[in-house]
Amino acid sequence: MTPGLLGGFSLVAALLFSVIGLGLCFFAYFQRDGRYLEAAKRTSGLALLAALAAFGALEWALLTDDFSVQYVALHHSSTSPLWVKLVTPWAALEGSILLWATLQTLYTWIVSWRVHTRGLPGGKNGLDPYRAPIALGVLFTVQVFFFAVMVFLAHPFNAVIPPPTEGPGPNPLLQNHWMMAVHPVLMYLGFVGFSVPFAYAVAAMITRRYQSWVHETRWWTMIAWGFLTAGKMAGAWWSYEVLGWGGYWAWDPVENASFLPWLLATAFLHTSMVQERRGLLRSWNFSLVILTFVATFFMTFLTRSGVIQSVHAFGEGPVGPVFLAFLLSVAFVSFYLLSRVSSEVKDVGEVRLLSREGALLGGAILFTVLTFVVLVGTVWPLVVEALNGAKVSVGAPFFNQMAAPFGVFMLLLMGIGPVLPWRQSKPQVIRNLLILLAVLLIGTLASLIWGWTLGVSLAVGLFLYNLAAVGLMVDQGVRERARSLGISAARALADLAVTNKRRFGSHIVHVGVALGCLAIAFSQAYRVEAQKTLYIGETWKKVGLEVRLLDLRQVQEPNRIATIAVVDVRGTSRQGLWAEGQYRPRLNVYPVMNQPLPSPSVKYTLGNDYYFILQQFGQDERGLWATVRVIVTPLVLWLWVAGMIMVLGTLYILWPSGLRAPAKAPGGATA
Amino acid sequence: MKRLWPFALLVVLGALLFWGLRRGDPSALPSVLVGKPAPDFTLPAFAPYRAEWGERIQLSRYLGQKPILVNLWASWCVPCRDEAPMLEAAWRQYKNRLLILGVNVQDTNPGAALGFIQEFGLTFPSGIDENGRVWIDYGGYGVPETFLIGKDGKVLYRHAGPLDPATLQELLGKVL
Repeated sequence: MTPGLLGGFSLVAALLFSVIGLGLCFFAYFQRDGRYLEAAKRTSGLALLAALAAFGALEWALLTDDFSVQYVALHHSSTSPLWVKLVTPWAALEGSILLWATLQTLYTWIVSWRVHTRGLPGGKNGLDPYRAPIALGVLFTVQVFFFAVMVFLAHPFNAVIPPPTEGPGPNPLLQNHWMMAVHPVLMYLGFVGFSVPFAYAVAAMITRRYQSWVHETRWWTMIAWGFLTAGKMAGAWWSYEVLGWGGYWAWDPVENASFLPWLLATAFLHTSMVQERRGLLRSWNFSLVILTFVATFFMTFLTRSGVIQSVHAFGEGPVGPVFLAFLLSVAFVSFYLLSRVSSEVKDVGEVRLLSREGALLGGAILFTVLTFVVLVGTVWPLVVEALNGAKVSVGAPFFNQMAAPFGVFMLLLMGIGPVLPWRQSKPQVIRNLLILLAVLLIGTLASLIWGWTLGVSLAVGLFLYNLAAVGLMVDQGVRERARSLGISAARALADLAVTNKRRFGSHIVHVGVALGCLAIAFSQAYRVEAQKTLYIGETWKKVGLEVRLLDLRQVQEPNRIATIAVVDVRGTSRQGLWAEGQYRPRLNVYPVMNQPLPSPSVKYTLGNDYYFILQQFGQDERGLWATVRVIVTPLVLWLWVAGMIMVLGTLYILWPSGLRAPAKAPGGATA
Repeated sequence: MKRLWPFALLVVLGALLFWGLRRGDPSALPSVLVGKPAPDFTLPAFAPYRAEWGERIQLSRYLGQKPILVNLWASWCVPCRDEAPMLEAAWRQYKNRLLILGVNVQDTNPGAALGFIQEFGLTFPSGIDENGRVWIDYGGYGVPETFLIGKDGKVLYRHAGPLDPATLQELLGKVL
């Protein structure tokens, strides 16, 4: 048995099991027979095993340097460190699809636990035998797609005859930082997660049960959103630490494309609450969940097809047209299903502007509009080229200009939304709104007087306004509870934090978002950079720092040659003291890359980030020299903190609570 | 009618993206060198070629006599392995009407490169791009990469990525 053999065999098995599972779902639906459904459930487990075997075979091939497997020959090198070998499966197309497919089989299998094969569902969030064949069938269809793509188009286990003795290793950009080990996996976990709410939604549209699916898939939506948020943050962090331009977001087409599902999912997360609570916005929810799911494929299409040039476009494979065809068919079929029942999912109640649902709907509209703007900006070069053949690119300024006002409105809504009550506003709410408005105005004006730019001042004002909103809500909840139960405020706070995790968690996430926006505003507005060529021993005074080049050395590592500049930094201003220390920016040369990759040396402090990059080096009659670039950016650290807060908030909501379940039991049957 | 607009939008977007796929390879950026005189280079020749071609191979010595196909390759590059026998066959066939010149770029060590030459029994001359100068001058994108230089010494065509037999024939057809 060789890895290639095991892999090829397992892939075919996974495809077969997925096809069989799909077939069984068909029978279960049309024959209304629980036995087929039972068999389909089991098949999902077999498909998972086969997929795991295939994935394991790829790891096996990589770890044993089996260059007879084409994927290994093309994307692997025996000199790579162990962690690089382990993460190489998602360093290129075929392996990424395999990872995605494997995660899909895992999620399908988890969904199958919820399936009840006879009678009505007993437990919470059970899938009854009417909807289960459809939901499972949708998931099996996605699986069939992935495995068919691998078996027929992008086979990870194609053989190379005769096998080479060494390969080039994975894309150096991916080897340059450990964050690459996690970023793609988190993204895929997020993408795959949306297939479940989508599958439930399709089942809901076909069986005409429009209400319960949002509640049943809330957990999935949250988890997928949490992974996607974490994945995007990891990606931003990676680009900050690797690409060496001191930024974290460049509005690159593929960044944009992966932003689309996140924006749509965020919108869906909020509109689904309105449906859960008031039974409204059903067609919004169907549309948003369809679009989110389709957007995850759109994103892969852009990454893999090479339609639009981007740093992320990892080479074109034969899969572009297939992904496009699949995503378009999914969109067509889903919107057809929706249009079939559109008169039935019309809202019966109304949404008032100044109410919780009004704010949630407003937020959803904002996110949808931004999605559209980002989409248009991303495909615009293609539109222009199609119309008059010119090559243009849409740069960051366009997106920044569009996104800034969006950010302001979003932060405004995010603050007042949770303060507003459902249905219609009550008089006492006006007092809260006035308080918040005052905080916003005072915060902004004080910042302006302090001397910050208008944008930054507004961000400060909005940050304080959001903190105040959360503070107000927590304070009111605690007071009410403490008064009515006669307990201490601390006890009431602890109670609320446990019993109303969803609301508390959302406060945490919102604080994270507000903090992130603040970090973005500051880091965009007050970034300083300078560059100078220094000879060894030379010092350079700039931006409150005294920079001295101590040494320039070359290190041979197994997979690369690194040139390291040793830079000593002293502070000449009070703020600069934070930056003191030794920095070792490097330039890594990988044999397969036509240009060296910088590896910046960054010191994160609570105020500024000090970011040193070795741009160039050389030797002339005066000795060794190095061109060093320093970038000082305020508050970048807080962006990562904000990301962590957002993820922690999501985890807080998702954390299974032992206290809540028994308390809910009387009403649980209707949930 | 109102129901139809999502479908209309999908059709437009789908058509646009399919066109984007079919318009060809956007990364096959036409080289800025096309139409310009080929940048000169001098490379240390690999041992098997020294007898016939000298210690160092200088491009300008051969410019203007015959069309030249410059192929950038590396021993670790898998597609180069597909290309090598094809180039060798073309060389044997058109030797007196065309010069094929291999440039070994970004290689890990000269031993591996020499092994590659011996493995495929390459008889067209190859040299080593020691300091990456050729790679930079020619705006290399990724190995393999092939430049076709006309008899007038100007770059006619640049092909990024592996050649297939049809493309190679088409290229040669332009100059032979």
